Amino acid sequence: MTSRIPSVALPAVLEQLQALRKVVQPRALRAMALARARWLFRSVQLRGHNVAAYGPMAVQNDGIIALGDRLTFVGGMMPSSLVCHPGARLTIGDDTQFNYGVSLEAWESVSVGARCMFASFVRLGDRDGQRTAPIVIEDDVWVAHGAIIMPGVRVGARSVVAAGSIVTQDVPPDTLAMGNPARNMSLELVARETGT
Amino acid sequence: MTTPHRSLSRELEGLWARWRLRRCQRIGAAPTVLGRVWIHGDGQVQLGDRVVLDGRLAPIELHAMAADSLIVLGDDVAVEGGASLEALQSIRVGPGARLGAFCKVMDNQHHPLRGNRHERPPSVPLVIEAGVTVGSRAILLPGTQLQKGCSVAPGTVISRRIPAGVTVGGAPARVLRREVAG
Amino acid sequence: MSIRDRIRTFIVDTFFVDEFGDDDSFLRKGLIDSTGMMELVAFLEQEFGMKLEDKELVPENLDSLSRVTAFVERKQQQRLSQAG
Repeated sequence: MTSRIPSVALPAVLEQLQALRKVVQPRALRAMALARARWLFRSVQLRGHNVAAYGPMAVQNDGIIALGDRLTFVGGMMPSSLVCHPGARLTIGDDTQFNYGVSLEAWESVSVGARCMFASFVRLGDRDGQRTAPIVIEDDVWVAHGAIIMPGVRVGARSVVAAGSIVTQDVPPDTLAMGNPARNMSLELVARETGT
Repeated sequence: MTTPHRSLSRELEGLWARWRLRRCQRIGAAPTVLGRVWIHGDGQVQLGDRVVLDGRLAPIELHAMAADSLIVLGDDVAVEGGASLEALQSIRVGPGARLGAFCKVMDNQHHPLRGNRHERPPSVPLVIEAGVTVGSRAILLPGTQLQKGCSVAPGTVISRRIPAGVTVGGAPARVLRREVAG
Repeated sequence: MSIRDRIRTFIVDTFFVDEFGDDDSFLRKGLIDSTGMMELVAFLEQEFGMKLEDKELVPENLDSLSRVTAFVERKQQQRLSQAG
């Protein structure tokens, strides 16, 4: 007995749908992230191209915020927050990536260079109750999970701030800052030229 | 009088918890799921008996990133809100262990310290043995092995083996107290 | 116990590595990672009562057992000559 329903290879169809989903989903997410970023950063004075926010964020801008091109704010369990108080300046360079739960707060000046990476729960604030001093993060810096950068700190280019560190003094270029309070050691000591 | 009613509600709670954990490959008896629990990734997540996932404070994230990555929570493990386990290779949590709020457990650093930041360094399997207590906001980096019954103070950063029964704290981790022998 | 033995005992006890020679690079042999290096620095400061400057945390001073030993001896001599 033959079935009257035309035989369709159901697994094959599902597989095709899966493949289609794999192609379409990231693009849809990307488009949504770009639109969300346009909305979230509507009060930002200088906004680069292709700024994407993949999750909810808290943005409060009473000063001047300047965002570079191709920034990425990843969404996650906690929203990231960008706060710029009156008269303050918050600058972020091109191609910088932020994971979820990052908090940037500027009372005077916070400046982040290009191609930096900020992991989840990183905190940067240029006022700590006693003093207010500008924070400068140079290019290609990687700040790992849960690190806190205190006011008046300058982190040099290509440096790494290790997970859970509290940085209280300047970090020279090509240096690993680690611990509480953070100490600087040469990256030569802990990493070869390529890879880890 | 109330017994059938109670047992029915317990049954329903159990079914609800199982539905919440449907992306796990193995679920033990009597799981408890509160608040938000996110189970992501293509890998395997295996839960033992009587696991408690309390995501009321913030979501709990169990992320087995690659197809061959593995997260195992043993019997009676309790995880508090905001804890995030990210496995590229394997994370094993032994029976009776407790993971505090907002602790981060990762078996891969995801970026090399120098050179091309976009290539992944190799993973090191991460082991948390039986009866370990991990404080809130602790960070367990690749290479961590917490041996039986040791405890980790809040905010500690660890990337090495911690012997059994020892209390460690600080960043980087220092031994705060050794258990008295016997 | 000599300086070398004290440092070696610390490394063996803390990092559970046993088979390494005096001139083996900690980094290249994967004996100590960056967090461990920080712990080694903290140990040196506590055990030998000295203060390491950030600019001294370089491979020439700390990358093998013999280098660490030589570095500690040099630091101690410096302090003696300053005191005397």
